[in-house]
Amino acid sequence: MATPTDSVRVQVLIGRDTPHGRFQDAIYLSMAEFEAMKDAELEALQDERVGAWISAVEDAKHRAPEKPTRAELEEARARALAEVAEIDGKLSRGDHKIVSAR
Amino acid sequence: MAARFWVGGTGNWDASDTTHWSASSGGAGGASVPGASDTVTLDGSSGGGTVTVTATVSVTSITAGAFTGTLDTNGQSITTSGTFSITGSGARTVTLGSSAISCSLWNAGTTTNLTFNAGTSTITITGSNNSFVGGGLTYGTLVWSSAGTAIITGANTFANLTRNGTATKTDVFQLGASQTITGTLTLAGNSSINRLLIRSDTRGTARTLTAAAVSASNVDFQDITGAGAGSWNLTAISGLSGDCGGNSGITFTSPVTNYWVGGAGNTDAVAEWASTSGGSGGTGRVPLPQDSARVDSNSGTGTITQNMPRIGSWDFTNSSGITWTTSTAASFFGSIDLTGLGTLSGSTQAYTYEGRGASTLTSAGKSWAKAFTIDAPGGTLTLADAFVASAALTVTAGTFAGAGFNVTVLNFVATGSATRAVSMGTGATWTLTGDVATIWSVASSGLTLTPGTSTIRLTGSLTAARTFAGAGLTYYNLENATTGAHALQFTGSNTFNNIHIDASAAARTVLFTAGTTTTVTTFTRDAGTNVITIGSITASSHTLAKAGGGTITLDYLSLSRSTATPGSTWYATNSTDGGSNSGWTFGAIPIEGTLSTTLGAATLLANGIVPSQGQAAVTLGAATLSGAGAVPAQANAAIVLGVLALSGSAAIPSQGSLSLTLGSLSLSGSGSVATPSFPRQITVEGSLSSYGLAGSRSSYSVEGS
Repeated sequence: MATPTDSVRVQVLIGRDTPHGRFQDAIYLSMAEFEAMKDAELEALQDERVGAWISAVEDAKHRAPEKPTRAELEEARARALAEVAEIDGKLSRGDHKIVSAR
Repeated sequence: MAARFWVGGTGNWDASDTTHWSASSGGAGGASVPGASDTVTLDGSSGGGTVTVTATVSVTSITAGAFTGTLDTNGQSITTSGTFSITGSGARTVTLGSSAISCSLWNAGTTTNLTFNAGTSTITITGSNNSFVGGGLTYGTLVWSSAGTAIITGANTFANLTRNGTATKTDVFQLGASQTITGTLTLAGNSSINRLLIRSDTRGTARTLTAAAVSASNVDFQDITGAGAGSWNLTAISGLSGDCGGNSGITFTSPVTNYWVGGAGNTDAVAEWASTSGGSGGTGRVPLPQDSARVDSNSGTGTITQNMPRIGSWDFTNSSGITWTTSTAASFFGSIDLTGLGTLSGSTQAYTYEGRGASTLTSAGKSWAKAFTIDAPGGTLTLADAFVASAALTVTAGTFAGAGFNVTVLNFVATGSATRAVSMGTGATWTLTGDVATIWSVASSGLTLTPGTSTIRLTGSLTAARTFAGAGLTYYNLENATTGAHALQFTGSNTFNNIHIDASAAARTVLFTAGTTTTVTTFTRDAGTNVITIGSITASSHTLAKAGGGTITLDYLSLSRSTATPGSTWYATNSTDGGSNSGWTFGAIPIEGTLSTTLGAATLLANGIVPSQGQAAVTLGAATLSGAGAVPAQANAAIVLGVLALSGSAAIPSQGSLSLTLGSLSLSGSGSVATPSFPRQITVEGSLSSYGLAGSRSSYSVEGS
């Protein structure tokens, strides 16, 4: 049976200065979790979060952007074809700005 | 493949008559009748008249836009593996009669001088081109049964329009304009888990489907307005109806919360979903875009694999022992809360927020491997905690609110022109770890960027020159902490509170776009001596402008093509003038305010100066000023000089209650120390020597006590 407090969550803000800039985060805990947690445990949780972030920055892999999927490429191709056809249409109709009257 | 051109005017296109076929435009007839691997062109050299198809045709393509006669398909079956194009401006008539036409791309984009009679024809789009460029004409029946994204453009009218989905999860029917269907509009997804998405080609811009009758199943909609006499009450259609936002005139299946049960499984398995927490599998449904997916303490353990491309919201609160992964790129329309999730897998398929309301993203300390995109016109995705991803963050439309939490991503993109907003928050650090061509890539059109007091920190190991494309916007702090022997290039006339260059590990190069003006309040570097090269990307000058008054001093620069404004503001010490600079003062040490500066030894040549203002406390181990060098000290400055040598017209004009302590003072030429107001004190603790007293044009003076 859910109680009203089950939906209440405590936001624990984290703000630490690190070699990579200031780290700002938040941890969300249920009231029960928060009340059961000792300060040292909460501190450890925050340390873990900060440490994970520092690792993420320091271990960042420098990889090329993800390749598109075949479906994405096919969609892009179809869109391009449709756009080309429409542009061809505008060119044929003269739907373009006249930049010089001479 | 051969090219065949119709020649000789009026005639029948049959299976054997070669009279009208040429290998070149306007050439001699007698070429073979085109077959499946041949292209067919009817053009201005075809001779006009009426070309009547009297046999089944199978060719690679038909092009008739420049034709100046009548093409009558005469009820025959026409198959082109590629394009059937009637676009152009030839005075032409195309009559389809009752023909069944199959093509990969129908192109009637330009209808100039076209008389088009669709009759009762049926056009079926097949193949990978998957496009119908209708040109706003009136057609018979259009049928689409191919997989992938079917694209229709032109505000067309159809007797009947059918889009059938296939046994894939990514079929789309994309509308470039509103369509009118005088008969039946059939939108048929393959199944409840292989759904068809009907959407506008422009997210946030609705397209209207006006239909006399509507038949729909297993279908989701986005930016579609349902209109016409047909019933758009799709609440209980087979496979139900999904609402991806931006729709009107359509009644959708009501949203529900579906609870994951049974541990490991794929999200398209209805047996994994219950209508209540811990309920029986199958009592729920595979979540629709408007639904919520709830994983909780009754969900079991194991890996949940999202294989549906659209999901409403995810909430893992109170779950335990769950790993979440994806096997498809997907869009989500609500909030995500990973609190309680055991493991967020390294799956890299992109995730796109497309919600039209307000949603939150709670990562709970998990790092994403996915590229994240916010493409949500009118929607807002707000961070509830720090966001870390080893891929790009892109804001295409809608609002991304950082809410003051850190953002760590490979690179950031907010290009395009859709209305979009990025709120970076107070004190947040946005760390961009990538080595991509444009690490920060934004366009100003449609973009509202609120920098707050954030810091953009670039940390990638650069393997080539990389770009910060700021689009002329205002930022707060930017820090170049990249590594690798390559330049960071700025484009746009951007404004920063502070630019900081970290050259502590190695020399850095920062280049600005010629002709741009970069405005900063401060410009700083690390305390080291590695040279920072500042220049332009091309062989012309850029401008650096200081805002907020005061001065900027940078050490160990190599400067070229740099114009600094306003004057007497930008100082470069221990630096190299690489040429084509203006506004920079080389060899100067400006000190302001309450700054306390200790200099071991300083040699100030030519017009070198040590201007100090306010509560400056300056300690010089040894200073040599020559030429017009000066130490103008004002207010309550306290200046301690170990050894000071003034020559030429060098001077120490001081004001206010200056305390000037000199270890030894050497004056030559017209060197002077003047304290025009009280209280004033000049103490020479060491030696006071002067040179040039005997010179006819030399003088020196020491005033005060």
